[in-house]
Parts: sequence; C-alpha cells; structure tokens
Amino acid sequence: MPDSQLPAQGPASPRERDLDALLSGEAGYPAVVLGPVAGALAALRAAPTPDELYGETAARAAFRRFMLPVAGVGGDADVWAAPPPVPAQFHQVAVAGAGRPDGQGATVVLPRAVPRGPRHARPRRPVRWTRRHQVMAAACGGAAAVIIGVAALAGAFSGPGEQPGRSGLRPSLPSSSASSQRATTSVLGTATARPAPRPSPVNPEALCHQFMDSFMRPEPPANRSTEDPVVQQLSKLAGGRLLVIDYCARELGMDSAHGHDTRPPGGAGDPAAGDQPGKGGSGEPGARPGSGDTRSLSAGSFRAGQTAR
Amino acid sequence: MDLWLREGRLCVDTQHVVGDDFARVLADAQGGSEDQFAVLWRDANPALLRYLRTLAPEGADDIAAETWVHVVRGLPRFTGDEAAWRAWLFTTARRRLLDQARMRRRHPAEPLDEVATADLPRTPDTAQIALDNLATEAAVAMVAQLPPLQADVIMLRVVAGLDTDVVAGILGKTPGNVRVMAHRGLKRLEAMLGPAGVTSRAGVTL
Repeated sequence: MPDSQLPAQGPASPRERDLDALLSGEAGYPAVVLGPVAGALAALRAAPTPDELYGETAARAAFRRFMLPVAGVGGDADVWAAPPPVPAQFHQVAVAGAGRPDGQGATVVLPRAVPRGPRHARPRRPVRWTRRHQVMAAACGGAAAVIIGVAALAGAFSGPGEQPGRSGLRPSLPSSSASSQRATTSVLGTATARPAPRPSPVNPEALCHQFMDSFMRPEPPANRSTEDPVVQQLSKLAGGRLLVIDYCARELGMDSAHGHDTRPPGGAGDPAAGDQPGKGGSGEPGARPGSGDTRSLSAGSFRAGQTAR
Repeated sequence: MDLWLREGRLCVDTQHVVGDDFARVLADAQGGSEDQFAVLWRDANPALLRYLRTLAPEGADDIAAETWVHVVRGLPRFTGDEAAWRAWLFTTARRRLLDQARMRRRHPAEPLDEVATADLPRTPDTAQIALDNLATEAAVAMVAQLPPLQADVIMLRVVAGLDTDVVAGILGKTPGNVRVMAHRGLKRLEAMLGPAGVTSRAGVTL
C-alpha cells in the first residue's frame, strides 16, 4: 500500500470526515437528511435570539469605559479615564453616559468584575511590604536576642573585679600551703570568692573581726569611740570591756590555749596562718575542709582580709 | 436550517459572520470604534451565551458579561485572525467559568424560588422538545445533560466553530481525545433523541 493512502480508520476516514462535517456544520449536511442529532446541532448554530443580543448596550458601555481612555478617542478622554469609584458591595453598577458629547446617556449594568482588578491589586502591595517588614522585624529581633544572650553569658561568667576567663568554680582543697594561697587570692576578688559575709550583730566572730579591724586601724586611740556598738556588744558577750580582747582571741582561735599563734593578727600575707594542717582556709567561711575547725577557718579569713587590706 | 439577514449579509448560523472584514473591524475596534466593537460583539455573543448556558446555566449571563470585560481590557493587545479571536474569546470565557465554579464552591448559594436548567428532569420531554421544535434553548438544554467534557467539546466545535486542534488546546487534551469526546457526545445525543440515529451523506451511521 503506498504511503499516500491513509488507513481506513485514520483522520481522513469517512467516519472522521463525517464527524468533522457534522460538528463544523459544513454546507451540504442539511439537518432534515442527517436526522435529529444534526438537527439539534443545527439548532445550536441557529440565528441569535433577541435575548442573546440584549446586552449590547452594556457591552458598549464597558467598551467606552475601558477602551476610550486607552485609545485616546474623543475629547472627553480625561473624563472617562477617571471613572467614579464603584462601591464594592454592588454586584452590578449603573454606568451613565452623561457627559458624552454624543449624548448617549444610558444606564447599564456592569458585572462585578469591573472593579475587581484594581480592588485586588491594591491589597497585594501592602501584603508584600508587610512580609518584608515581618522579615526585617524577625531579623532585628533575632539579632537583639543574640546580643542579649551574649551579654547575659558574659555577665554570668564574669563577676565584678574578676579576671576575665576565670572559672567561677570554687576549688575545695584540703589544707595545704596552696590552699592558703588560694584563699588569699579568692578574697582578693576573684570569681571564686563570694562576697565577704557581713558581720551580723549577733555573730560574735564577726563582731570580733570588726573589733580587730578597728583595733588595727592606724587611728589614734582618742578617736576610737568607746560607744562603738561593736564594742558594746562584745562587752556584753565577754562580760566586760576589759575581757573583749581575750574573748575575741578565743573566738578567733588566737589564744595560747589552742596552741595557735598568739600574735595579733595583721601580719600581712602571713603564710603560717594557713600552713597548719587542718587549718588552712579556703577563703570561704562556709567551707570546712580538713578537720573542720570553724575558728581556724575564720582566722584564715581574717588574715586574708588583712592581706587584702 | 435558519437563514437570516444581518447587515446586508446572508448568514446561515452563528459562525464566522465577520469574514474577510474581520481584520478591518478588529483594527477599528482596537482604535476605539464602538460600532465596530459592536459588530464583534453581535457576532460572538450568541455563541458565547449558548456555550455558557450549556456548561453553567445558572450564571451564564454574568460570566458572559465578565468575559467581555476581560476581552475589552485585552483587546488592544490582541493579534490574530477571526479563528484566533474566537479561540481567545472562548478561552477567556472558559477561564471565567472555572473561576465562577471555584467561587460557587467556596460560597455556595442555592436559589429557592427557581429551578436551574441543569436540574430539569431528564425525561423524554426534553428530547421531545428538541425533536418537535429544534429550538436553540431545547438543544442547549439537551447538550447540557451530557457529561461536562463532552458538552464542552460539542459546544466548542459546533457553536464556537473551533477546529479540533484549537479545542484540544483550550481543554488541555490531545486532538484524539477531543475526537473521542465529540463522538461519545454525539452518540449520547443520539440515544437521547431517539433510535433513528444519524446517518451521514456517505451512509455511515454514527
């Protein structure tokens, strides 16, 4: 079979040609011959009915509304270029032809789609800008959070007067020569030292510390007030003013009965204070390493305080 | 067959009325001639309304008006012959139809005081009306009872006057699929109209 011949069921087959001719309404296929289907298809192609041409006025109005400003036809193009705003709640809007030079004033009905373009186009731009602003706000918030976090971390790992980078962990060392050094260092304001306990009025040890401090001050004795509340409280505790020194020496572990150094405190950087086993302070009054002698620890703190001073 | 006279031209149907003057009419309409645009509108609007009444009987007029608004807005940028014009017009109408269908799905509204054409009972009455009168409304109502795709193909081929390839492009189908749909639609119409069948000039029964 030559190639020019199409197969029987191909696009050019009689069945296909009849189908195309029937659908396209070619001349020569009268409905009366082809039957009811062809008649129905011919009815679909019948002449327009009046109701199908009823909306010509509205179409013309739409044409005037949209085309004349674009084409620049007519002297009143500016008038039609800026139509009055259409209320959004109306599905149909009356468009009057008033103002036209040809006097074609007619009230027509336009579909709701007329104002849809600009009405939909307007809110989209703010949405785009709002997203951009949201992104910028999120970025700024994240940067602020990072800065605050870094600042918080820096504040957590550095105390006032602390050397940068020193760990805040407090070494709990037994009494040794090194422990005294560490205690001294801690009192000097490293991160390992807690603030020195404020002397409580009811704490005899603290009172003694304050008394010793005042005792060691290079002030003339005349300036010392005998009405010092510390002295008064210690006097009460010791049973008299003359017994205050002995009382404080006992409280601070500096009396000879304990076999300690009876020298008055104040030896700057006296390393012997913490060299004794079980008496080396860690610098923290609350910590009780070794034998746990509270008085010894307090004395170590006291000496450390003197050293710091 | 209906013969009717319009603007001094004998017309047999709703297809290709403008003819050779289409380029001039289109150019004048694009230049702002309202009368020439009216020629285009009178040429295409009846077919457009029938197409839409077949697929969306309840909102055909609104969709047609919306379609024309879109067409008018895009008219200055259109280029092509009359076939391309009709293809563009019906493509626009179909998109508006789909938009309307989506909107109705989101905001369903059922009229209480009227019955849509699509809800008319599928009884021999419709076929009888078509057989007796062969009126356009009856034919549209009958095609509306076909499956949507078949009705779409039939109306685009018959009313809009588009060929198979253009219809395939509009519907997103292959030309072969369009032919199959058209054939099935005609067979179903034949079954609805009666056992007489459709016999072509070559004696082939569809």
